[in-house]
Amino acid sequence: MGIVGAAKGFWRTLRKPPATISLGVLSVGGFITGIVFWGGFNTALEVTNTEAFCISCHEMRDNVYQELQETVHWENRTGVRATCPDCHVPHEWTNKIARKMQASKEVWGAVFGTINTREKFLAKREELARHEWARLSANGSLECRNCHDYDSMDWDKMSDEAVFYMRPAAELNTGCIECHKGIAHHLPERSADSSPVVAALEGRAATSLSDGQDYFAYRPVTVFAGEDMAEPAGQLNLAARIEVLETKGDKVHFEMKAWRKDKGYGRVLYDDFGLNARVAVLEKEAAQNAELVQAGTPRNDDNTGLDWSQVTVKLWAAADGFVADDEQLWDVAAESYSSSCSSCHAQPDPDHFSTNAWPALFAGMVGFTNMDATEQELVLTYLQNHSSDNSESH
Amino acid sequence: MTDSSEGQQPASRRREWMAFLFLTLIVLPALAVAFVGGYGFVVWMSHVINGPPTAGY
Repeated sequence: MGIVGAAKGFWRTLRKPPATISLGVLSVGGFITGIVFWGGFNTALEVTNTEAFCISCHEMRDNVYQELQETVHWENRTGVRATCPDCHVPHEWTNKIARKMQASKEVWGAVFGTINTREKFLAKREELARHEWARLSANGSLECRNCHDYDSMDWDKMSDEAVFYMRPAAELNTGCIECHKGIAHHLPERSADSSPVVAALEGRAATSLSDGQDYFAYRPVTVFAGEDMAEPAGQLNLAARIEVLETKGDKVHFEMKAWRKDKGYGRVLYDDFGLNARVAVLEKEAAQNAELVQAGTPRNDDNTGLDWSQVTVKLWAAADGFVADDEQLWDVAAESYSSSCSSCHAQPDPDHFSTNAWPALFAGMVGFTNMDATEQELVLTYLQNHSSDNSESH
Repeated sequence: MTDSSEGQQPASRRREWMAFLFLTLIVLPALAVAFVGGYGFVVWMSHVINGPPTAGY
């Protein structure tokens, strides 16, 4: 008797009223196994909803779980802590079941070693983080708000600084994740190569440079004293303006006009007299080399008492880091500025503050965003170049 | 197979118990899990298509 025969026999037995088991036994037996199943199902659901279960995979235990232990969600003065599923598994039944099914992807990943090394995890972190950010953005940070509630915040017990940021957020009913990304795990790190602003600008890079024309660095560009490009002489900041003297293959010899403070070695070059908008930082030897850096007559800045000199710098660089039009840079920067800053507050117009005021203001706020280093530099340069010093309206 | 008689009762009794236990302990629990899992899968796919769920905030 094969499987088909067994199935037929089983089916015949099911279709007939039982001849030997009483209705009472069947009903009670069915009822009890139902209860046992229900209990077992919920127990399985609970067990897979514990931190111990999450960290039974080393992908979780060695990466995100370690990072959590440095944060307030692990240890704090009240002794209340968040475990993995508190934040990462929806509490509502339907979405919880959907998330459990989604975990089949994680089982797949664990079996086939998708993230079985630290390097693989770091490479994938941003993608993973973006999934969680999108989820928490869509549901208004529901899992945060299962514990945290604007209505239960005692403004008198908060520091003035906290109230300053939290009150407007409460009025707008802003979701927690909009400002608090990276509160329980490290933020994704991005190298300058993979920066999205650089990627956005790469397509607009000038393919060939013409002699005598002005160009603008769209990414940090390493500069060199000689044509052999052996010893780095410094680095151009984003949006640094150069004038091409000559090109040789993929190298460019350029001239840059800038200002420096006559103090120290004069390594930092600025866009204009008295304005702290950096365009380049030179190595000490290069900054002191009169053949590379020709300085004009010093001029005193009343505000600071410092002497500034205009300098003309002649250096070499690879020719692929420039765009022909600085508006290309400002387009990308303006978009980044408005999307990153407006998630918490109405961002001020760039010309609301002066070139010298922007760095401190920007430094105070940028920690709330997820801008990488290159993006930060680009946006700050954009703000400084469109500040009240460069505008008619203020 | 003939109609049940006194002599065949133990075989029929055994068959009914086996069917009962197989149904309540294996088939129905498996169906229930498959049903709930299938529901979760459908909801997951709807999130993939329509974006993650929104809440009342």
